[in-house]
Amino acid sequence: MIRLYHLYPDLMDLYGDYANLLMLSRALTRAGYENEIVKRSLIDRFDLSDAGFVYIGSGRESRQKRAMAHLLRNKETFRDAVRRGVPVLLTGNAMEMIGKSVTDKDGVRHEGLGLASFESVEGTKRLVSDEIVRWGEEKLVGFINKSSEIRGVEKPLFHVEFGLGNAGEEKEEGYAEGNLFATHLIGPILVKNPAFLLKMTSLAAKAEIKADAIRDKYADEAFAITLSELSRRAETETKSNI
Amino acid sequence: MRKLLAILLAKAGRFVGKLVGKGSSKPGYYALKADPKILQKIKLPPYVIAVSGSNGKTSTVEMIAKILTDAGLRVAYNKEGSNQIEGVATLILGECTLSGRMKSDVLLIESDERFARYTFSHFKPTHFVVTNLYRDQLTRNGHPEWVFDALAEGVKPAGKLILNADDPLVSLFAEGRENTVWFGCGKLEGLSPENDSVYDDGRFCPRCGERMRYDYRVYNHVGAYFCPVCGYRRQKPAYELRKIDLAAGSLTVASREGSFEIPMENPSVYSAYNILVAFAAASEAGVPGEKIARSLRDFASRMGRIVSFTLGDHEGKLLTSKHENSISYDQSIAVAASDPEDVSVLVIVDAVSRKYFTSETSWFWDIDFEKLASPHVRHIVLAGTHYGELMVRFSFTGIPEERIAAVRSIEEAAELLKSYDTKKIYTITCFSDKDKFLNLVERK
Repeated sequence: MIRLYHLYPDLMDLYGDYANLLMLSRALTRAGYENEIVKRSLIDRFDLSDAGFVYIGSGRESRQKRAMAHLLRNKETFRDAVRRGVPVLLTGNAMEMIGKSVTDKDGVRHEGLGLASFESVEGTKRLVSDEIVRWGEEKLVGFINKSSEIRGVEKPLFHVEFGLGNAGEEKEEGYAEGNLFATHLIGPILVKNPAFLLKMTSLAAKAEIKADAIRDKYADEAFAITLSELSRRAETETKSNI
Repeated sequence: MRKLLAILLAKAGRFVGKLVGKGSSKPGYYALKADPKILQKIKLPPYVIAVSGSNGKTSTVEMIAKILTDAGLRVAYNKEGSNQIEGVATLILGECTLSGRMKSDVLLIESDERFARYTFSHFKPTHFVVTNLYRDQLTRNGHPEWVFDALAEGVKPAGKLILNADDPLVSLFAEGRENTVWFGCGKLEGLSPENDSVYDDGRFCPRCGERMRYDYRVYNHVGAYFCPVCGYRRQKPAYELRKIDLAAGSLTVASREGSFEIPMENPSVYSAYNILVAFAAASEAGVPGEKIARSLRDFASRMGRIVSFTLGDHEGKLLTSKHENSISYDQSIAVAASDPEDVSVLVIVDAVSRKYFTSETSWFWDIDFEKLASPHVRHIVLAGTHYGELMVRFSFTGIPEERIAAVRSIEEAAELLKSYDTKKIYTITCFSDKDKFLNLVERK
């Protein structure tokens, strides 16, 4: 039984984030792996020692602070899971939680988990963009809707071909270290990107899953259309920012 | 001199605009260029009513305008799409004398949540109505709390607030001030404290952040809330829905003047709230309840949100929703799902944005498509550029796969609908996509 932990599904629920877990769970089932989604939030006891996968989605700035403060108090079990190589996926501003700090728009600094050395600073404007990113040989698509910039990322996850990066004009997006994947892409990323779903499924299954085993015809077609439409937009728009 | 120049510019612009058949906000734009403080120099009418919120602004404003006009008042109000400062300036200057006095009795403004603070830095509304705050075009607006912060500045200078007592976030505008009147829905039969939507924006208290509870919910986070930690709770409304009869298409509003029964053109709890808001605002502007009820009785929506059509030997209704606004979709779904006859449902998401292709479809996962699972919804067709992701979304609704078809082409979708023996069709889509379908059918 593979346990897929969805942390703070009630606080961090802004962009249909739960769909990522639904997709992963279905893919694992199709590939023949028994699994269950386990939800944990503020009032629950946190123990990730039996986790096969950990996920946190996007939330409003105020709720991200609550979740982050709570996660900080449960840092041990989270960090141990990361160290054991449990695949962890953080999307949207959940990414910011593992950095050193998040400074809110009033200038108050909130301590992060410190698993990575980057720092996030929220502003008063929303930064919104469609995205095409390169991930190894693959291209992925998605969307960013955030109010922060992240600086000091040592190991980015994606290279941005179209859209916003971690900060300013940067062409790097997200953070990756071992099996920890963090990105500001929302979307939900595992619905939109069959290749990324395949990777997460393989990591959770601890086996090389074949694309055909989990193929969803409609998800594939959606990805192809999105990539071609966004590529066309990227060609016509000289600069990437909307 | 600048003031006169600005007024003349606005009037000339409006005249030319009318000649070429274009109503735009350009006249206001030029007037503000000529005199940035022009709006502060205009003598406004005794009632300046602002209406803002995520949903229902336009139809609410239309209703208020109708009631006040019926009551013999001269009402100046802005039409959809012109609710930024330039549009408001066009409206005000077009309705004022050369000496700068507005000729109307009431200035009624539909105000975009994000722009209210700019508009009302120029002049103060006497009444500010906030309908509701929920997830609406997150790409443009950010999330509800983000909108709250933006709107708060615009609401602040208003003389009196007319607020939704059932929306915990909206009610927060009353904190630390006086002169607020509330509207809300009473504890109607069948309402429970449970949330039956895909997501729950009423989980946490907007004041202290702790877990909130409900005596009952009307939909999603809208209901009789209370926070056991800080004591924040629903205020007693002066205007209350006492009965909503969806089958008969009527509702009852109670105010200090008594109870009034009002019919609904498109029966749903959402339109019941819109009517309630209009009732409250008109009542606060001094119109007697009986007159309001009479006006609302013959109010028919001029917005064309529901369009009847025929497709071959099929009869259909197009229910206009708003992309990136899950609750507007939920409203349309409720109409289709509550039809007792066998129906086919077509959902079209072709262009999320009119400007360019965008891949922001996270809002699909906020819509209660699950409610289309009832067996009399015999066929579901998903169409438009985003048919693939719609299909993935539907694959998690529990609706049997054989009932669902997904095709990119809207023409092909129309052909499919024609081939079914189900004779009644509901088409659910956004106003930006609706003509792509209406061009294929006979409008009635």
